[in-house]
Amino acid sequence: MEPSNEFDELFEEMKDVERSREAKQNTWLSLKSRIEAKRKRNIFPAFIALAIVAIASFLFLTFSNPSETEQSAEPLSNEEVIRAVLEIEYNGPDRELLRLMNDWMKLQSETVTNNQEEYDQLLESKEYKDYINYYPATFGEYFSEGVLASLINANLVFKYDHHLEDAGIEMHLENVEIKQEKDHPNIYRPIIEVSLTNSEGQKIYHTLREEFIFSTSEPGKIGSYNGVKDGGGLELQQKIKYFNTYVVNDEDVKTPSIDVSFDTLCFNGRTPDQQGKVEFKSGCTSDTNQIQPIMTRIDNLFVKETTEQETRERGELLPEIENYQIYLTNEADKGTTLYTITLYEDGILVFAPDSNIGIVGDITTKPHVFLYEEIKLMLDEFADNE
Amino acid sequence: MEMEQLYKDHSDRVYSYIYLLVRHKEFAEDLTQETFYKAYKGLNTFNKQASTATWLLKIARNVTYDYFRRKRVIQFFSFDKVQDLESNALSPEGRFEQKEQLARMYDSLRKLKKDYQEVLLLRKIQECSIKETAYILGWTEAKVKMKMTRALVALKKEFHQEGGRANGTIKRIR
Repeated sequence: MEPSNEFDELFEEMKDVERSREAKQNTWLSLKSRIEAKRKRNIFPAFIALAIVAIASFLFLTFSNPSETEQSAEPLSNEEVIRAVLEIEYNGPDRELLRLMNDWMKLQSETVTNNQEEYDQLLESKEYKDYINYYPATFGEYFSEGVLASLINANLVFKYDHHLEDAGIEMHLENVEIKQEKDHPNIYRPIIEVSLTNSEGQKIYHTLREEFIFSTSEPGKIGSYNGVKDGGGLELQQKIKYFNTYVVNDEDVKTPSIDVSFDTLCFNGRTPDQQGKVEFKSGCTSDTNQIQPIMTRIDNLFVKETTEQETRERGELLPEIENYQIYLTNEADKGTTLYTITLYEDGILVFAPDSNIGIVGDITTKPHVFLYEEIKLMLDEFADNE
Repeated sequence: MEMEQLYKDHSDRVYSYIYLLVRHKEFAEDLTQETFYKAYKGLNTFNKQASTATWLLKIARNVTYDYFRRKRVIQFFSFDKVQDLESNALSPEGRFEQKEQLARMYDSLRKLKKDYQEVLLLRKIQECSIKETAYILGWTEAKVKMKMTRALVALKKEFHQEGGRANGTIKRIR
């Protein structure tokens, strides 16, 4: 029998997938309510727009002159303030902002202004006020006086929304890890993980850092909000703009092939401090309760073969940045390494058979910074010199 | 309502495709809902480069693939749920051999490379054309033909392997 039709009968049987009418109807009802909720968010009737202006104006005035009620309310912690700003900045595009901006642009293009007086009159329009009030209504409570205006002028808030709209991409804040500077408690440099999704559901991820400096004169308010040099903000813009080139080709993606039999996991960790002094940690365990959670976290990651460039870059990074190397071996013969997994501080993992310095092998297709921190804690639990 | 009609016309096909990937009725319903929600959001950008059904299957594949990534599931397909076979329309008597063949078929498919599984599922079960399969998988039509030929050869070899293989050679502590 030809291979092309030998299995036709069995394939035919596999087509028979049962689905109850009730389940189908329930799925439709859930879908319908989600669609309706989205429509309501998108359609802003005039009275809602008016209400927004009223609320925005109220908030603006309120934050300029804090009331007694507000003064007595529980203030947000610095971490909560950072999280709130990131939620707004990294979930988008904000359709309401885009709608208000388009209305204002449309009015400007449709109205001829011959002199400054006429333009000043335009600045009194509802469209302009709605647009400009949206910023303090959204971000006002988190920034100290005067800071938000300078951020708006420098396009440092709502900085990705136009790019997202142009590219037809949705951004979602996946994870935030907020780190406070040890020596400067007012400075925080959060690590932010976002996902980008196109209309066909293809998704990519990106990790970046930003910097928040809290005001000393107005505690709990942000006095400065910056991207960190080389923090990944520009790369995020590139990923939004050229989304398709960053979509991982499923063909090239696989999970690590850790095809060895082992009963012991050992590690060496290299952790430089801020003065450049390096601390080394190491340890071994044969306890499956300690090994299993670590392996479960790392052996389902998506990896591809390292390129020459990546190998070169990793070779330079290895003695520079914090890293942990995990060695799989056997209790009876710890001298023989069967498999090596190298975890870099930037969240990249390299998988290689045998004893390997950690630059050649299969490399993760995206950074896993949170996973790195998680595994580091697990390893530190059985470090000999902890 | 446009969306309701879209759902009525295509949801069974989308569901059956997803179901064969995840082999779990509730998850398949959830992912079907997610597929149509994404389709609703992307309806304005749908450029009719493919038929509506093909476009929906492409979204369904991405939604399901994303689900697997989030759940950190190694195998893309889960053809090994025997209880699914027990609950389908096969009668217990007279068709025992056929049932056994079907179980073996699921098992053989599960052991194939991911791209072989995908191309077989779309071409043979979803009855997609070469062009449609190429669109959904993001491959060229030549690649679909080549993979299809190799997939059938690999399936035949796996299916007829006497006694089958042990379930993987990886000895792991867990």
